[in-house]
Amino acid sequence: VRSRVIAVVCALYSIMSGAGCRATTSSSLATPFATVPGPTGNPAVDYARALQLQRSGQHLASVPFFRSVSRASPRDGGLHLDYGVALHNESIQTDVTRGAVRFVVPCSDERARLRRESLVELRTAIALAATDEDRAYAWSVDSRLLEIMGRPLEAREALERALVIRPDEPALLDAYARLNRTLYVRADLAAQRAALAGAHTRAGDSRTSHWPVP
Amino acid sequence: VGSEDPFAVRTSALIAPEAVSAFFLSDSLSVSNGEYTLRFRGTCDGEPMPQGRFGRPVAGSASVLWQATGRLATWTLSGVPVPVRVGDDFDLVASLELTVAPQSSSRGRIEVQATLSDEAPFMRPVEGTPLVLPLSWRKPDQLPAQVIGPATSNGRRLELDASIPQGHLGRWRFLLAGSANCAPMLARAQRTSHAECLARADAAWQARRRHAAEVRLGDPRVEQAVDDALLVLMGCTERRSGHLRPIGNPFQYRDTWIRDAARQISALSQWGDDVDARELAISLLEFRSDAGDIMSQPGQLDGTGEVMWALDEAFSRGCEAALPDSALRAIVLGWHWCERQRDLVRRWVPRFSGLMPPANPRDNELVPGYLFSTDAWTVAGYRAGVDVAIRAGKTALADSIGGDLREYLQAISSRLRARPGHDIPAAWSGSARHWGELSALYPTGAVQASDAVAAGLLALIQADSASRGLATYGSPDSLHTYLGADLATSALVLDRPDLWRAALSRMLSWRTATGGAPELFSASSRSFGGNLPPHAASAAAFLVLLRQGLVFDGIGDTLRLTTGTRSEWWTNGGACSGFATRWGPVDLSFKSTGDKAEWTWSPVPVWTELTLPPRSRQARAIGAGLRSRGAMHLLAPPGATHAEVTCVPE
Repeated sequence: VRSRVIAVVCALYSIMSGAGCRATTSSSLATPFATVPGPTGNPAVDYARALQLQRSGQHLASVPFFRSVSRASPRDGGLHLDYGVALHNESIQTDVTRGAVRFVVPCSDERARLRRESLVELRTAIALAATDEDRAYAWSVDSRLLEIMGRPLEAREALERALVIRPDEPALLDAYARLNRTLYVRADLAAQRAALAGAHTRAGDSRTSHWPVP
Repeated sequence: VGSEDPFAVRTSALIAPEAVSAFFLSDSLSVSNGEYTLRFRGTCDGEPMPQGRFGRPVAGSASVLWQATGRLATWTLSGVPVPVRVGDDFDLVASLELTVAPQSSSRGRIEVQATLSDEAPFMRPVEGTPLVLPLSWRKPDQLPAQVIGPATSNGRRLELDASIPQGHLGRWRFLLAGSANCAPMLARAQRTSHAECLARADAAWQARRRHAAEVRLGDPRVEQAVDDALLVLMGCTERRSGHLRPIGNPFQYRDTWIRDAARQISALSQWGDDVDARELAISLLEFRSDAGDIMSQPGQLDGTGEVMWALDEAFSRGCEAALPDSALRAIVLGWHWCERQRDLVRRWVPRFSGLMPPANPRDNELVPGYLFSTDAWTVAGYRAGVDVAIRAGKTALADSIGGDLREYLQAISSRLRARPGHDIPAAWSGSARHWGELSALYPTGAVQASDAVAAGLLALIQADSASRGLATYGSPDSLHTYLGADLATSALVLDRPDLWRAALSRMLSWRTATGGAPELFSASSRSFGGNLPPHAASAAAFLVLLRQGLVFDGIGDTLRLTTGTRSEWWTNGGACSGFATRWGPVDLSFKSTGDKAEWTWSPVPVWTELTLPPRSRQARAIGAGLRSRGAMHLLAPPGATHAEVTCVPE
């Protein structure tokens, strides 16, 4: 779980920083017959490989591994969250080829499909979350993806769901303030925080902290 | 055939409908597929091959001719796009023939160097890791060649020489693969002569071209521009795995942007190519999210309304095919999504009540905020929703969308009237570059004509300068080839046909010799930088501008004929056939003889407004049922097909 949390945090940071841009030169391009080994079917091995690829910014390459692991454990909400983030990162991953920045997925309709599937995975992760902590975190990731996709109102809605569970979480409050600025909401944050805290039902455990230090 | 290229670098393009690659040609003289470039250099008795110019070999051709005349020889490059099937896709091979004709004063000693390099003026997008083949004039072992020349050489430089007797031609043939995937097809393409390739390419284009409307105005420059623009529109498509999709440009942004694609679909539909328009419009549904929004690029919230509008454009103009249920469902879900967004804005941000949420298009307006374009295109989408619901017999749905549309229009109108100066802003929440507000009247109908007049909407194209008719973008030196086109079309209903004529003239001037318009260029340096022509939205803007000038159905419930024309079209006699309107297909002919102007057109079930030739006014109407509307216009009742009027100079 710990490694997964770190991976998701890394992924979120890479989302925020534009999903990592790798340079490719013509001399490093693959030959026509080069192949990349796919998932092994061993969840532990594939998961380790997925994390390794994700941390090095190779989201496109990481997706088959995350998909394989997520299918092997379909009831594990955390894996759906990882997979959803990987799909989204693939949709915004760029590299530099022959001096030009390009999307590694060149067709915008294909990138739209990845965005769509990433949200489906996030909603599955929310539904399967084992703890309130996990659910709040999944809502916050969902919010961030919606924000990047240019849907700020829905991002704010998702974030409010996370705040209902964790009204005092600084990372969530920062994101909430940012979305309010984007939307030109003149918010009385203290009042909103109190309202959200009132709606908070403290159920389940909160053993694992997902939140990055702001 | 083709007018003088006004840009600092003369360029052309080899494109074909549905092909997944294209070739960029530049003077003097190179050809690139976005992965490699072939450069030609040559001498005749030591005289270097001079700079030349591009054009078409004949009117209506899809092929390109480059010609340069020096003191000692005339150099010609004929370029033909040869579509080849690779799996389910169409790729492109370029068949090139370089010809040298020594002048009588020459000894005819010709030397040519054809040099390959892996640098290119644009980058062709490739899925995943690019497939790289060795670049050489000799076929590599066990791999297909990307280029075939008239001889072989180890490496990237091919030296050719010949002594050409007087009265003869030096002739060399080259074949270039548009991508590594179609390299295996080169050997087969080699079996067909260049002349045969040329004949087949032109025949294929003419067969495709016949789907679209024809105009005969006695104005060869306009007629050629129409052919070139249609080639760009249809050439800015690609078929992948059996699915057709629109692309904004064959070179540096070979991808779908709904902002461009919706224009492309509308133009194709207006010009009668409803089959392509429908397929392209349906392809945009791939961008739909499960929530109902439709965006090709994150943050471009105008996309949902644009796709709803494009679907209506493609399926409403004299089209026999019904809108598929899936498309109607997408329109309904799009409307629901937009209404939910507006509802949340009402609840959370009362100062922007009634509007769509802020967008961050990272394009055009270049700022995040509450953008007018989002609202204008959402309004256009709602109009489309009402239209398709009525045609589908879903009256209750039409009433529901119509109610939201009226409330939305009221909200926009109230906001505009509350603004000092009543201007129409690019963004409600601050300053932004001109964009969506220029479409406020035509085509979105987000404002009434009276609001457009009060706002001084046409100001951006009224500059008393050489650029009158075009809009600038950002810097006053940056001229935009299609940004002002909606204003020029709106000018037709605001009784400013002079601005329409100015826009048409500028758009005709700022094109390459083979009809490609860039998106932006510097007026002072005449350079477009890396934003290479041709641009699909520019071609669409030109075609729509011309079409709406001749046969206007963009706003209102009246067909308007000859609202935008040039005087010489009347004296030559103008005719157009195959225009698809909201009231069925319309053919039109018009002419003026002496003091008489006359029109003949297809009957439509609505009133038709006829506009007199430029700088003339009506003296006496002839014909039953005709009514005057001011000095410049006549109204003919539904079903009318002919009108004549006696005119006097204005």
